[in-house]
Amino acid sequence: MLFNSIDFAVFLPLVFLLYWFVFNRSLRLQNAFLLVVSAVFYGWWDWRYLGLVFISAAVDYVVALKLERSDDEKHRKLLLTISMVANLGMLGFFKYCDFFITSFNDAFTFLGMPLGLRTLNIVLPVGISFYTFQTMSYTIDVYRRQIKAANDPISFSAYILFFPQLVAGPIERAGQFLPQFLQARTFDLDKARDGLRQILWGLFKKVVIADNCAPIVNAIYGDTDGATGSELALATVLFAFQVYGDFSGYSDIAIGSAKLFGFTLMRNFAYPYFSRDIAEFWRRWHISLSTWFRDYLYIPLGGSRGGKWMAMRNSLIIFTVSGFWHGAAWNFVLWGLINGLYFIPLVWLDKSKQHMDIVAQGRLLPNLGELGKMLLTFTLVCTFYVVFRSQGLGNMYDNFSAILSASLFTVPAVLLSKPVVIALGASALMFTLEWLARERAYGLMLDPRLPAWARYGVYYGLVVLIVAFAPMGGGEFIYFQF
Amino acid sequence: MLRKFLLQCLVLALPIAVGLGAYTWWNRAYFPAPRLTPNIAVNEKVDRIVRHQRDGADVLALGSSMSLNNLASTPVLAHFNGQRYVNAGAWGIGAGELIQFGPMLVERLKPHTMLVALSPLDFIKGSRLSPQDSAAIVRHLDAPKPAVGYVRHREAAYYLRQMELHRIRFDDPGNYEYLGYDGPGAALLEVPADRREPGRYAEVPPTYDKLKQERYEAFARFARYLAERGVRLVVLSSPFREGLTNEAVHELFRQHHARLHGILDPLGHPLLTADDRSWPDALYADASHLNRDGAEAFTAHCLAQLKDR
Repeated sequence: MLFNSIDFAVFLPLVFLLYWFVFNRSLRLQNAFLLVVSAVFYGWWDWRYLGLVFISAAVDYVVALKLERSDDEKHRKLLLTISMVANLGMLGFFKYCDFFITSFNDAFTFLGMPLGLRTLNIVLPVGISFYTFQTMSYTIDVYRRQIKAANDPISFSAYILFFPQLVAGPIERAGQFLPQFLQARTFDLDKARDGLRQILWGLFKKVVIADNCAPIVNAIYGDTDGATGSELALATVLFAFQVYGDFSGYSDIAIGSAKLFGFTLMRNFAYPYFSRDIAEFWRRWHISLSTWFRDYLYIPLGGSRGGKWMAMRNSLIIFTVSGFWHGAAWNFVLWGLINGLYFIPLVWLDKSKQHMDIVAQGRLLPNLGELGKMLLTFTLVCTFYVVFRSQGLGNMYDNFSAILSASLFTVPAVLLSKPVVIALGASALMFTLEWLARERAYGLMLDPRLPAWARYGVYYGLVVLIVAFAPMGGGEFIYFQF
Repeated sequence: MLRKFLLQCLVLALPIAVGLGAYTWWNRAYFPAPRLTPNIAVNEKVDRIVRHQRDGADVLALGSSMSLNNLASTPVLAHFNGQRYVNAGAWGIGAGELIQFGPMLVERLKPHTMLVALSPLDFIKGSRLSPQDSAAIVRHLDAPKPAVGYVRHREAAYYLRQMELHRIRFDDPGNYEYLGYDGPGAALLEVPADRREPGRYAEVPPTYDKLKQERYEAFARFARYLAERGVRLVVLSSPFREGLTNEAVHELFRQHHARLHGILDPLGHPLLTADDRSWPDALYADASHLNRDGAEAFTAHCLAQLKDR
């Protein structure tokens, strides 16, 4: 079920009413209800893949219980390996199997020994990259004895399947999230209001920004042969807005929906396009994944404990793996690698943590230096997106060649077309509101000093924009394919 | 607390609901048909049949925009005097798609005569219906209430956006996407000279080798299907405008008609042609779509060749 569908608009209030009015007699009943409606939410797309989520949850539930009861280190390692093999095996089969078959075929054909292996045309189950990482983190935390194993299968399954964040995150940690399923939840009026506001903000970002940028980006990147450098540059900038509107919009709707049920999900985006260097960008973009890689890959690899060289090596590894997590294609691997290469100089110069504060804090506008750094970082990020959005490595080379040609300095033919004006205008509004709210959690958390009429004016204004500019056939969320 | 929240939600949602409701009510005449397929014209036509023409038809017209725009209802009604006539023509239902779309309607409307206006272009392209599209059409045709279609196809943004576009499509016969149907379901264009799209108006007719074998085969299957059910197929071959007609176009029609005769004659289906006279440019909206006067003249000219009714 998509957040931007009529189905969800009916589903959410219905579940809300049943949750607080019918199933509020006991915590266990509430959790069981959440589990059932989460299964319905996921099964709405294709119920056959529901089995995979339950397998992942069941394996980790059992493994974690056994891990907790065992003191034999060998046995514990074996149990952890079972969980890793089950989760990564599932992910590897459904997400990467065809990619590896194609890559083997290509490599052997290149060596003059064509294998002719047939791909399996496997359908990628929605959200598999997210829920497998969530269950793995739980088992690893139990293995490390950082958390206790859950002993209630219903609460545990509800934690894994919790519908707002099941298919595209945030990837929640058991230590922070699982306890919320184990304690009584009471309705909090302010939290619920805040949730609705965040849902509205996420919907605006998805429907008005991402869905209006998508057709332009698809049209230009879908036929790059005749595209000028300036058109490709424009499409890349719009893709930056699209992917941000799409993914952070999803996260906002997920976090807002969770608040309606009394849950707190972790923040997943913290205004990444206002970053002053790449290190800050990655601290602010898809935070639940970045921190996952930090805690479960970077630190176990040694982190920065072995000096700069080790820190640089480990950074390169996690960025490359992160690229591979995003998609089973070589351009995603390259995308991750380039991110790592941008990051390494900051590690070398000990400047990866120089921007831990909020840009222009306490001021309305940034100074010239801050503005320059933000623009430079955004430009670097856009170069990632050329890699990310191109159709294979050959097309990526052609696109960079076009962007770096004299045609970059021409006026794009589509610049003043209605869709581009709508996409750019709506993006300008989004970034203005986010800039003003950058010291708060999300863009629609307006200054509390504003009079009520102004705040409600903004809310209703966004509703009008959603109704007026929601394009037909608004697409699925981009991160579903990851 | 909870009740206060719900009350606040209701109060805050009220202006939105009222606004949307008022907008929809204001534009109710333009509210689109359920989104059964990606083809808007097919959706509109199927929904129209479900709402107004479910009782059946003696004469059914089917086909692409050639049937929708070039087949005028007045001459057809005059020819088939007193008989029930439905024009189910819609963009994209070319020669290859008739066998997909036709049987669904034939089984339900039970016509004795099927009219199909065809241009050589219908043997080049069309909007193929996917199995899901066909299933959606059948479900809608058999639905107890037309409104069920909206429950099955829940796409709010589609209905909002199409409502805006339908205002033009339903009211402006000078627009190429005109869907302001007359009683039986034809939509006759009236594109004035100053609104013609130059590209469409100057589109050069294809050569015979561009016409696709598989589309002739699909059309032959449709002709056989109708013959097996005792439905007479009457094909009206739609001409190009005079300014584009030359010896190459005459040759195209000679070969094309010979091919159609090869399919239709053994089954006893008549082919009505219009290349025995010229069709002035002034009658056209573009290279092959006729304006109202042209459509009436073309339809009458063809049906005059049909001896029985």
